[in-house]
Amino acid sequence: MRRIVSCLSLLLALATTGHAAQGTSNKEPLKVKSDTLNTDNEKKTATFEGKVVARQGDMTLYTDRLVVSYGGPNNEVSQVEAFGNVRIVQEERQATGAHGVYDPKLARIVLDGNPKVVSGEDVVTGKIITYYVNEQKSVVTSGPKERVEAVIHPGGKNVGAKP
Amino acid sequence: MHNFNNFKRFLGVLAVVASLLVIATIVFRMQQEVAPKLSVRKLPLQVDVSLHNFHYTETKQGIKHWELSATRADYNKAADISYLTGVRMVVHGAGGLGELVITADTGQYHNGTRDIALVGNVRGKSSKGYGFSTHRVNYVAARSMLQTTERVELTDIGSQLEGTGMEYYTQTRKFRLLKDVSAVYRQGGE
Repeated sequence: MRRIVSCLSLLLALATTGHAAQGTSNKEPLKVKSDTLNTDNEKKTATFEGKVVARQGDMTLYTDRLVVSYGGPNNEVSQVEAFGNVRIVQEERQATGAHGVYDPKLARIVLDGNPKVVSGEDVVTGKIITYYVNEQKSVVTSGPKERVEAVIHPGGKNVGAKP
Repeated sequence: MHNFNNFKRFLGVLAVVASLLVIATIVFRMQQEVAPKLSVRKLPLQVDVSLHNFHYTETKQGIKHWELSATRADYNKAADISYLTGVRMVVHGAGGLGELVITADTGQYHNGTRDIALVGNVRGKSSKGYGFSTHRVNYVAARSMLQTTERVELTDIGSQLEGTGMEYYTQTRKFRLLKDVSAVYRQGGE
């Protein structure tokens, strides 16, 4: 079944099969691997480039370039911004886009640039997708040219999804 | 008879004087052997001057740029290189960036270019709390840059970074890891 929904905001619950996701604790360390790194100790930014893979808990982010901003007395990560071929994988859920901003304190990722969230056979697209890492939900926002589009398979793999 | 006695007395005195001369000669030679010899350490080949507690300060327009000290420095005039042991380098950052102190087992100071090669247990520590460690690093004076192709570990408050190859600009404290980067950022004060 295919439904096209046009609205400013759509709250979509994307559940994983079988069991609920454990979620990513924002207290867990953020581990990053890349080809190169440029760091500015005064601006408190680290720019990772080339086959970037960032992991925190059960969430993995793949991108071309990642800018980590940190600060405060313990140099905690305040923001992670991904540029180019952004792909976020968490258990069976996957989100993609051209650009994304991850806020570790809120455990929230804002994706733009043809963003898409896929969970099993369900697919949601829009102008901006706000992906809540610990809550198994995404808020999809439409734009003037980009309407929200959702492909949901009731009775499929996602039976028992959160309302 | 009187002459004979005088002759005997003369021979006796002569024997005593001869004995005293022999004893004095033996004592003198013994003293010569016991006297300590001056030990002058031979410098290794290709070393023209050897200095202990070497210290050099590089200034630009009256401002300290960096300082280099070593427990020993052997200068080779032909190569114009000072071979250093027990090296400590202090780089003074511009604009209140604080000091960066680098230590190493050995080093080579090129007098012409003022470039420095630091080798063995190279450790850098900044007054702002971050530091690095590697096996070898070169200071390129013209670019105020530390450079290495070796594996480097960097630590800061809340983070650990690793990579192969580094360019570290001492005047701005910006650095670049060139290959195989791995980073861990601890969250929540862990």
